[in-house]
Amino acid sequence: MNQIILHHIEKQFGQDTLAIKPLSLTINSDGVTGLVGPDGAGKTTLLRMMDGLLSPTQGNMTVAGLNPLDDRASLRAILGYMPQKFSLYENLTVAENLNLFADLRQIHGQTRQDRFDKLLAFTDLARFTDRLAGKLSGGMKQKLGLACTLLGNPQVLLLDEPGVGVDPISRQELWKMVHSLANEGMLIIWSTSYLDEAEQCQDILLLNQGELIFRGKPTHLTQRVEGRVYALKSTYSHRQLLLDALKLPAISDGVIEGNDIRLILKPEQPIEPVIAALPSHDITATPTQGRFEDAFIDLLGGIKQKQSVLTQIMPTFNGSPNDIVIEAKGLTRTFGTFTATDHVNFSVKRGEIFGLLGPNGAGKSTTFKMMCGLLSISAGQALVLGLDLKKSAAQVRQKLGYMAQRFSLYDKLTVQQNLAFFSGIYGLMGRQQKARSQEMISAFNFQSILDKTPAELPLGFKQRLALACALMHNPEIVFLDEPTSGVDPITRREFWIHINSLVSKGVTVMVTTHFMDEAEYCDRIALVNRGKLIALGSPNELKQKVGENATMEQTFIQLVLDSESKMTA
Amino acid sequence: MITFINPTTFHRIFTLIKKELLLLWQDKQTRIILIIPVIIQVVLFPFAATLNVNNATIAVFRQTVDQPTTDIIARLAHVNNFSHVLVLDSQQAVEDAINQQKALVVVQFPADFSRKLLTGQSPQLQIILDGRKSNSSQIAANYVQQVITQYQHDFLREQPNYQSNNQKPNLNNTPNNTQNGDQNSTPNSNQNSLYNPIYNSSPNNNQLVIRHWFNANLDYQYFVLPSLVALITTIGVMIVTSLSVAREREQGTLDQLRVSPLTTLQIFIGKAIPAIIVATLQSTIVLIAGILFYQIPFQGSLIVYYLCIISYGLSLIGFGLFISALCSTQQQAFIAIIVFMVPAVLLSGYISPVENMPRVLQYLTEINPVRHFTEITKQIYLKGADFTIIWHSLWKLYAITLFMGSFAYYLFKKLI
Amino acid sequence: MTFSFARTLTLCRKESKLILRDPSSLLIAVIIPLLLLFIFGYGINLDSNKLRIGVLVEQQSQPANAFLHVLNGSPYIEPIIGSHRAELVQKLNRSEIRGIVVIPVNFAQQFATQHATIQLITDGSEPNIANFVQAYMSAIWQIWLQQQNEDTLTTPPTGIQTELRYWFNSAAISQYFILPGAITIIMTVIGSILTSLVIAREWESGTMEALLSTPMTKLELLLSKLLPYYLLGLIALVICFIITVFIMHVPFRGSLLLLLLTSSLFLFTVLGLGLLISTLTRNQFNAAMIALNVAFLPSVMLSGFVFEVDSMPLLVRLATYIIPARYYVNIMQTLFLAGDIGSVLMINVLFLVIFMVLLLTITIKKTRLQLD
Repeated sequence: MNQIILHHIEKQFGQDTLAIKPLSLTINSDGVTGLVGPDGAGKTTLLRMMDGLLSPTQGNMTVAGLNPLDDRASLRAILGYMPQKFSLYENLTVAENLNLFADLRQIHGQTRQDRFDKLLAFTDLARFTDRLAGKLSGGMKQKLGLACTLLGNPQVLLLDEPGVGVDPISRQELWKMVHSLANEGMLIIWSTSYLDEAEQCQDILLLNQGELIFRGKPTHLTQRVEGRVYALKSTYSHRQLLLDALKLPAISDGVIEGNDIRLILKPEQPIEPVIAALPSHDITATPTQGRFEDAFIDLLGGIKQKQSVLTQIMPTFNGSPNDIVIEAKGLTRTFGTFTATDHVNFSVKRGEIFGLLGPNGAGKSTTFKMMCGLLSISAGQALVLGLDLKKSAAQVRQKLGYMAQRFSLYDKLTVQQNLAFFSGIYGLMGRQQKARSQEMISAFNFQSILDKTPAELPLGFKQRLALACALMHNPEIVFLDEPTSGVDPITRREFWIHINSLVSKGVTVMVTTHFMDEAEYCDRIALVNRGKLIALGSPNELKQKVGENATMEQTFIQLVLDSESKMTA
Repeated sequence: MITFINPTTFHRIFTLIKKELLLLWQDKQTRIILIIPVIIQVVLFPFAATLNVNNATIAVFRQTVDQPTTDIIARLAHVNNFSHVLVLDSQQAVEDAINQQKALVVVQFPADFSRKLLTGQSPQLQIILDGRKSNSSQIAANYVQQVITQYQHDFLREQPNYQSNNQKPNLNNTPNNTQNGDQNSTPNSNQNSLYNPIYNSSPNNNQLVIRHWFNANLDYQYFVLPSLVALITTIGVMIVTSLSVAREREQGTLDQLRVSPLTTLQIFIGKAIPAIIVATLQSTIVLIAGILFYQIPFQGSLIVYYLCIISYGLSLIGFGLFISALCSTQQQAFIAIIVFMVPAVLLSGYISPVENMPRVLQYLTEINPVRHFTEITKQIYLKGADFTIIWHSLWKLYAITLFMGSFAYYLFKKLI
Repeated sequence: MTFSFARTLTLCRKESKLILRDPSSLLIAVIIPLLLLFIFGYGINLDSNKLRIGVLVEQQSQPANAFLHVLNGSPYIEPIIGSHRAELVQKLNRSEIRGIVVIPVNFAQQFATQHATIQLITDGSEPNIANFVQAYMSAIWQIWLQQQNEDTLTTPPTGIQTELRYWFNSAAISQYFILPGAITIIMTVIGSILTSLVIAREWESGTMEALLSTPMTKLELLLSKLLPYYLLGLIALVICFIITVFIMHVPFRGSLLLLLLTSSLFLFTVLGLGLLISTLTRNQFNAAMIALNVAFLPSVMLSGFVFEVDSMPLLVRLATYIIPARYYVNIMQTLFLAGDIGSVLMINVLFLVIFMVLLLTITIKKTRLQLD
């Protein structure tokens, strides 16, 4: 049985950044060990030290009895490490990548052929051996990366966020592969910021700011919130209900789930006073299973910002909720012979949150880009407020807010300069510009970081700054492209509180995401696969299609697989 | 276009320009890229980029030691451009001197040199040159020939049997019939070198009087500095336009601009103006260095000069934004800049004159803005040329601006 | 960890495939060299072949016509006859002509008294051309004087006859020395800029992290980066050599073996520089900028490839000693034009060896199989 033993391990970068605070623990090859924590918790640093790519500032460790630094050669023979960034040669084919890593690990002859066969079958990549790695979808890239890592038949496997940017289907496949390896006795560490993945692990190491704050089975953590989680049903607007509920002091955390809300109470707080305090009379509260994420947030002290100040600083957009503000009519985009978006139709009404979901490479970002005018259309129409953005006058774009995937801010401009720039290009000037900037600064608490650049800020701040920049000019439609990717759960929840309050002001939101819990926030979802719209409806409607108690993730997987079999049939 | 007068539009463009300049200034990496090459070039180029011959070693080999050869050697040693005179003692040494690059030039006196000279026959003199450096050795040979001519002139005059029509040779005879009023500003007749400007090539007083206008001593720095303004402006504009667009693309901020109410034209202008501002500032550094440090007098009108710098910047914008429309990463843009700039600079007349190129290439250089500005910059800086002369090249810059600008704008609109 | 030859070969194969599949490396390795050779072979010509000179004859006369006749006969000069001084000055300002020859009003009388004066004005804004104008016009002046003397049967000339002999390059063609120098620039571009970009890219894309997690050793890593690019450099060298010798007709008088050996030395030196830059920066953009300023610009300016090192001021001249390209330029010019001249090659090779050992040692020291 292999073990990783850490003894007072500590890692410091520069003068005062302590990436890993003194840590002692033993990890066994007993199922998959999850290394969990928000962005910047120190997960990658820890894995790199185990692989010998970084040396610890203090302490010592052994990996399968070897010292990662001194026994580099022997360690390489038994350890597989898959770095976070996609790390295959994009200009080499699948087979060439496999051959390269097999040669580097000096695996020859029959063993080599056997392993290739096994891994290609295992990863279902046999059909693609001649394809360039760069041309694979995100999920396939990760599987190939795993295959290359597994070539050496390692006893210890370190995986750094293999699930990032991978759709639920591919992620499920990855997990299946890893579980079967763990059953064979391999020591596996899987690092992740997706907390639903953590539930799949046997053992959890929860890191926060370089500190281990929990160690144990995921169910042990989930037990923390047992009896404190309730699902609330009501005819009242679920969004407003959540906003109201979060204002109550007894509430630790809350999320939207389809037409319902889930509330997590603070310890020792009964549910009855909460229901009584809410404005609606037809609320039914049922105790429900706590999730790992609920427990995680609770462990970190619950969400801090429970109210969005945006309610006070955004104007109310009046207009009938039946107005169609965004519409795709037979929307098609081809790249050469490949059709990325194929006759997609949908319409979004005023004040809706409309989600665009789909597996990697399904065409959802192509569709999204055409809708906001970033990509030209091959056929059909993409209308926003009745006009095509690619061609339309600046006046229409004046009414839009856009937040890009990686919070595209100017990294070298300070927070203040970014705010001034984005308000400036949207035509705000003089006293009006100053006043609006000031509103945003106080609304999002930017006062202390005005002279910092986004590059120096934690991801959460960047995300808020990007949102502030997108809202400077009071847009009535907001486009969000994977607005929370890589952000830790607490920040993600706070972000959705902001979005909810925007919608309450009559703003229409169109969003793409890979997080299934975010899909729950949407009023309606368009699910795309292979360029086609395969399902359209509210989260509950979609779930109904699959089964009575289906989760969003099950729904997603089932609908996509159904469409696959239909298309290939 | 009417919206141009609109204060909001104006403010938007102003915001874009301000952002661009802040980015350039606040980013250490970009700042270094914009400043270091300027410093290296201003410090190094005027000294390094010279086709003059200085500090050269000249070798002499004579088979007999006598007065005439000693005189000639002494005179050669006095030429400022030769720092060393190497006296060789054998034919083998001559070969070694050239082969092993000990000397650029070997002057070889045959055994009968002095005898022939004294008896009034025409003696032979061999000048052996290192063909590996044919340009420098050619210039060096030129100096040697001047020395020989001068020597011969003086030698003949000292001969007792020499009948001259004029008793007093006038070395500094300056003719009065060639000066023109409007050329007063031109540096002229700065005859500080004994051998340089005057040829007296026969035992009479017939003269070829040589004047180097605009640069009396044929100082190479006079040539390099104005050309540097062109070079540095080019680098500035190309980097600011191409690289900044590629960077915005990589960081995703370009998408932010595209979904905003900004028009493509406004984004275009927002990239063009900062580039021109940066290039103008960079060339000002070179100009100041040229005038104050290198003491090369500026002959023309500064206003016209700056107008030309700006016009030149405009003509490059098209190329820069053309590259940026096609390249999606900074690395590609960087390579594209090299692929554009290296030929454009080499074929601009900076290293060797355009008129020496084959005809086809000469026509091809008409679309090279660097070539036209290289001409303009020397015309204004050194020749003090007026607008009518400048216009000859300037209109071509405008034609390039119009053509490349609209082409790049079309691509920009289509691809961005 | 033990060195494995098979692993090194694998890495080299991978590197070669990547070179072949990436259009930008092909651009740097093939297109830029061809472009440079073409430009240096045809576009850069330091020998003025036919100079346009304005001629102003203020008064017609027999000696003036005789002078014009000599001018017209010169293969180096294309006389442009002007009627007004102002017109010619204008042309000089516009750089349409490179000099003005003024034959004055009383030229015939002056000549009769042996006081003839012709004025030559050159365009000093182009010093190199002005030098040529001066040399060509002096020669023409001499010829004219001789002819006049023969005609008038006055004092026979007893001029010293100078005979110019350009060794190695009898026609004094500047391409002969520029092209071998241009090969240096091309080797520098491939060795430094391309290598620094490629390795920095491995760091940026994260593939380096994956390589470091395999049993690969430091020596294997370095060799896999050196050898393919060395081979690429050699291929470029062969292409350059063929173009230079067979198309541009530059003579090659040295031995091919020495060309190969010295070129290998230089390639390893610049590759070492490229490796070092990328190892230190780990960022493509910075690597390229540093390579441009540290390797490319100095090899153009300070190598003696166009601009004579000896003519530079002392401080700059001292600076050229640390530019490896300087030694290679000298070797190339010698090998092409002069042949295997032991003493010249020896000293240059010695310096190159020192630089190569120095750069490779620092690179090995600075290369780490860890991220921090």
